[in-house]
Amino acid sequence: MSDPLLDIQGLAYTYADGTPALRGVDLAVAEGEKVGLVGPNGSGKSTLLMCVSGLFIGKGTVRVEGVELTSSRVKAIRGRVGLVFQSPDDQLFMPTLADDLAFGPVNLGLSDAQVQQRVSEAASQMSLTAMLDRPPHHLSMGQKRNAAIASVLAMQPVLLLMDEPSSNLDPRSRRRLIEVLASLDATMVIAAHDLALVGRLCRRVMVIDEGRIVADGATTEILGNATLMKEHGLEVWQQGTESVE
Amino acid sequence: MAGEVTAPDERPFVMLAMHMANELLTPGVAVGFIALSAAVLALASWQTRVRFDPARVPLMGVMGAFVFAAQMINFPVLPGTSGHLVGAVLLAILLGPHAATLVMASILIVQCLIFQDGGLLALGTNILNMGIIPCYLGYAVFVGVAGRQPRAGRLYAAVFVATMVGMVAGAAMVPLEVVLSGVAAVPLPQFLLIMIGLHLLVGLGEAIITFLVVGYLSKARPESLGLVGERLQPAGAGLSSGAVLASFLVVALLLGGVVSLFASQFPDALESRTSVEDAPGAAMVKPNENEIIVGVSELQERTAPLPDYKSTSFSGVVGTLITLSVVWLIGVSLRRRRQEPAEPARE
Amino acid sequence: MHHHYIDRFAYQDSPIHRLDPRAKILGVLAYSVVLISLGRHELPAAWYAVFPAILLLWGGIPLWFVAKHTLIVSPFVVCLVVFSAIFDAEPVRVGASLTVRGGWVTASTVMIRFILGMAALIALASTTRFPELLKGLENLGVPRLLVTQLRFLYRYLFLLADQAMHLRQARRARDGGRGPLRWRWRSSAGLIGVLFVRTLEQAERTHLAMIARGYDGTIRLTRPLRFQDADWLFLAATAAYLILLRGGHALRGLAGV
Repeated sequence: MSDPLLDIQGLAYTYADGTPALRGVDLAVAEGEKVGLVGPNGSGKSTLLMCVSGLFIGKGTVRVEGVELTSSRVKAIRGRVGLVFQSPDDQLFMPTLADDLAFGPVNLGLSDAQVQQRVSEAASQMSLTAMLDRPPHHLSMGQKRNAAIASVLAMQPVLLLMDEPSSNLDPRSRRRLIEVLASLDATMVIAAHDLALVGRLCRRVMVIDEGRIVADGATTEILGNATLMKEHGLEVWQQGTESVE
Repeated sequence: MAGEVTAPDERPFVMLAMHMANELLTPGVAVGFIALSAAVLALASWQTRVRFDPARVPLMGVMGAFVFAAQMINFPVLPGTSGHLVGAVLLAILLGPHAATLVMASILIVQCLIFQDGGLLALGTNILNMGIIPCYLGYAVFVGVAGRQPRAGRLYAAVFVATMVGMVAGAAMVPLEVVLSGVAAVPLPQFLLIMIGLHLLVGLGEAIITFLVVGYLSKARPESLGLVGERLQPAGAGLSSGAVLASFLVVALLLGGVVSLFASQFPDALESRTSVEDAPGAAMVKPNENEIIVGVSELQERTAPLPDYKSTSFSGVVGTLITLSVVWLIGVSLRRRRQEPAEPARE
Repeated sequence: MHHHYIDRFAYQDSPIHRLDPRAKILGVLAYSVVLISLGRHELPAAWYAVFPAILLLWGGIPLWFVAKHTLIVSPFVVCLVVFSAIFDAEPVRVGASLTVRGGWVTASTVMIRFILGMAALIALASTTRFPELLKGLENLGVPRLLVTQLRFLYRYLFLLADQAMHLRQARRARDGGRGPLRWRWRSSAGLIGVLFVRTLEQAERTHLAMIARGYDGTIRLTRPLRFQDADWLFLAATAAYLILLRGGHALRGLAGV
């Protein structure tokens, strides 16, 4: 069995004010897997994603493609791990969409021609080609969400992390988002309250609560396990149950 | 605080904005002040990069957006009129004078380029008057008066004096710049006094708002006070009526002084009127006593509001009041009558 | 935010819209300088209106828009001009046989120049997308740090303005727009405080997002501006126009007319 793309051992992270967010997390994600991450608020989902992307450095080891994330090595994985934040407004900070999509590739040191290619590819993947010259405030919520994803895709990461991708989306945009994500080839970790989305996209799901992974297995088994779900403040989800469309 | 006529969902119709237009300046003066302001901004940039994490400095732009947004919050003064924060001194207190000046400069540039408030060539003077002077002078005065760990009373006094000095000084520059250019021949003393008088009132409002905001932050989010956080203790009782009364009194006294100074100008003004006969063109025709001189004095008769009162101070005050009323009427008529609309769907 | 005002016409298309922002900036700047270089009592010739008129007409910017926004920013100039009309009593020769109060002459010349200058500035602003305008400024020498700040200002202006509106509406829903003055002032200050904190937090999160995409302290832009033939033509035509106009004025001044 080949090495996992993402390998975490004993990850612990405490905030500056003393709140422990992660208390020893062990997990491994293989290439090509789409893994869901569910848990109640405050369970450490977002913190975990931040640590995996190298924005937070905690105790323990986080390895991406075999490379350990330390403060000094962090720059190297910038293009390899892409984090899509919960709020697109955090991620769309340039005056036009094209500039936002280009931001990552430019920082990777690509040539102008390569940058342009990445920009058009990412834009067409997320159906945003028509909006490339527009500023973010001209985009609808769904378009902004897609744009945030596109801005990360432009860096062509091997590992895509997503924090609540379907929040604030109307049913149609949400459905479209699910289709797009399903069509993407990347390895994904999706943190979400939207269990139906996780159910549709991920064959494997992890439950996190109070900074620890408390369950890890096949989506249908875990999300269908009423006792487990209830114990961790979550709802039950079963194949065939979709949220209101 | 600047005054405005409010429209429910439109950008506030700023009445007392000091933004100068290009046409009040000559090219030499405009360029000179642009060079001056540019030099000070370069200094401010350098100092900002020294004091703040250089990687974060571009994000000062977001602070500029904050000021715009903060200027949308209104403070009712009279029915139909309200004031809003200008923010220069507040920013200086919160971020220090260098960063504050940069932020105010970027706001003024955006106001010019997007809202056409103020001319391109007047950016030098506008940035000086409404950014550099209030921020640096206001900060210096604030630090001087506040000292270390000021309590509520002293803190308010510091904010009050800093804001008044900063805003009045900035406003006082306008007449100087206009007279320096000589485009519009207005008598300097009267112009100065009107600007100072108006901004005494504006400054009072701004001082109160600034203090209230600083007070809120020191209680609700003390860590956000960053640069000057350690100086400020949580303002316990907030703004006492005593403090507000005292400041009203001070402003009233100052205003009274300004008005009486203004009124005392009119003997001089009368003299300047009679000097018409000594004006270069008139001297040549005076011996002939032809229609031209008669025409000039007839014109003077007609433009003086009341035949007996040729005093320019009175006509100056009346003129200003008439102009302000016209402006207010324009604002009211542009204001939409319906209520604020319900929040439209986001997508 | 209602960007019915900002950006309103900038995303349309016209020959003027397609001009390089640098050309437009330089043109309008030159025009403004010439306009204010006229002597104190010199009335701009009618030809001065041609430059802004062409920009506005070919740019598809409606007259009412120009009039409205000129009016909105006019109060200060109007006050000053009225002031001048009242105080400036120096007699001035106008034409061959008429002598008028200097104040009235100044009032009209300043107002006319103001209107023309505003028309030109509005033409610049409404035919140029703001990010492009910033690129133009940066290219022409405005320091990069300042321009970067302007970019972030523009980007987050709408977001924060929206938040301000929501806060206002939320408060209005609770107090119905009434209440003692003291309370309203305090609550308004509180809203501003909330906005400040949100701004700090937004700046933090954006900074993290920038780092996540490889930000290392400098922001590099792509798609540089490139002058086309139309831009050179525009600049040349503007220069010729201004030289003729200003030169004409100077000549007439020398002739003592």
